[in-house]
Amino acid sequence: MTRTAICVLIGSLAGPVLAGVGLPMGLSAQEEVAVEPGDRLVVENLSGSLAIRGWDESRVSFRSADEEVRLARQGGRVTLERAGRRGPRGSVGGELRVPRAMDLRLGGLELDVLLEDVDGTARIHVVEGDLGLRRTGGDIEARTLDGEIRVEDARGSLVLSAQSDDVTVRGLQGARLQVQSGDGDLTLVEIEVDRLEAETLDGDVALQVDFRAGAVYRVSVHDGDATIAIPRGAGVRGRVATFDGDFVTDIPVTVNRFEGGRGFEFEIGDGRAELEVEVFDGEIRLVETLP
Amino acid sequence: MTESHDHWVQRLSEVVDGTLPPEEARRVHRHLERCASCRRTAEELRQVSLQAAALHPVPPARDLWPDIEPRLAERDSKVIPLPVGASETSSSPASSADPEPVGTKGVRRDRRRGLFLTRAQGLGAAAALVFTGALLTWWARPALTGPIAPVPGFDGPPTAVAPAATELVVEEQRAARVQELTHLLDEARQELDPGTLRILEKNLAVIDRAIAESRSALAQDPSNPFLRDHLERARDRRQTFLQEAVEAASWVRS
Repeated sequence: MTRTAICVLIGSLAGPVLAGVGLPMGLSAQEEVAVEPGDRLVVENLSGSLAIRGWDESRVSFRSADEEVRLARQGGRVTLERAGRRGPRGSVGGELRVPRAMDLRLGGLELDVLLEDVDGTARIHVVEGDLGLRRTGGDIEARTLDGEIRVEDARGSLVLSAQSDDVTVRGLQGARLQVQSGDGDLTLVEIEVDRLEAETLDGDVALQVDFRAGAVYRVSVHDGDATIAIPRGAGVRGRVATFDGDFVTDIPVTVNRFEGGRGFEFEIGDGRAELEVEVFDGEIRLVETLP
Repeated sequence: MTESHDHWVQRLSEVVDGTLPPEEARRVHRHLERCASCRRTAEELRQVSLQAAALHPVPPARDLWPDIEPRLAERDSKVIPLPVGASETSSSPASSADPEPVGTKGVRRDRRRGLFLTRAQGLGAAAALVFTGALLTWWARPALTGPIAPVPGFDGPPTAVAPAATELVVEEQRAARVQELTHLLDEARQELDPGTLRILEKNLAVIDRAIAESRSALAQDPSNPFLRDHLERARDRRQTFLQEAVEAASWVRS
């Protein structure tokens, strides 16, 4: 599913529900189970599209046009299964409402997932599918082998991996962001974390963080460019290295030390945050604001 | 660098020295398995120690300190110039006194060579030199009558063998794990649909290309720490990818 498709998914489901006018168009109330604090939602081996939204109820609800999908609860585990047709080809499409603090474990072969307004921990692994996080509050691990990851206004620590597509994070407050792509761009803006590790093998990185005191940011690119926004007044102790690339800065820097290879250390302001950028083949650019 | 990381870095010289208690040594070794940065530092310490061990003490012909001290003070406040198209300090990219500052021309493929140590590495190197001196003294002493308690994982003189052995163990463990994962993935291959297989192979090709390019670059410049680290990272990436692929394949088979 493309970026456009996930936007369509968000748009088609979010509007009516957030407006409080009842069910999204085309979906009918089907399944609902009461849950206890500490229960976990587990979705395995399903394909299709799922929008999972938090609410202030002690129950899980699933709404879909598909009548063969069932919710079940056993021993603190709430599952979503396709009745009468098991296995990886089980297809599902719809909206799950869950208690905000509920922990989530989701996996599938071809599954697009949108998490919205949930605060529990979540682990999402899919082979093929786009993953979206919006206004999430818990620690989340999201991995897709073939698909895009988009995050908006999240809190908590995130581990994001998209092997062959882009990862975009716009707005994150938390302890840690670890993000990687095998073949895609990383766009990380409005990031407020203590520790960031961003890595792509074949793609560009655009990074805009708050350079808080004591924070550590590490960026690694094999084949691509890294553009780092360093606003006026920021204090950065930096190290850049490249094998076959350029270092260009629009910002005055003081070079402190050369390294044995093709890199050097520099300092901006009081150097209260640490930045390390390594690019094998590409340009490292320091700018005041991202283009 | 976080405090916890410093905790490990500070113990690397003790690993090289072989002076850590066995349990602490095991903890450091476990950390080394996970931390490429510390493995590098340990290797650098080992190299410094080995190089230092090959040196014979040469007393200075006269006391050099009075000459050195003021130059050190002067150097502390000096900024080292960029070798390519840059000035000593680009306090302003548009400075007229600086015709080619950083940012207006950039730094391309800085080929300057030299030995640079971080503070931790410096301390480690100092510790290694002290240890080397102690080792020479130990070699020159009369033989002990009883056996020396071996340090776990060390079969010989710690400066020469221990970190190399650690790296070897880490490398072997990774190779074994990659082999195991590759085998598992091969087993699952027949049950994966062509689309999934295509995705896996495409992603593996990207990683393998990065590994090949890193390896080739390292062959050209074996002493470049950046390249060593970059290759290490790419290989870690391959292992992580295989783990994810095997997990995905298990869903198909379940």
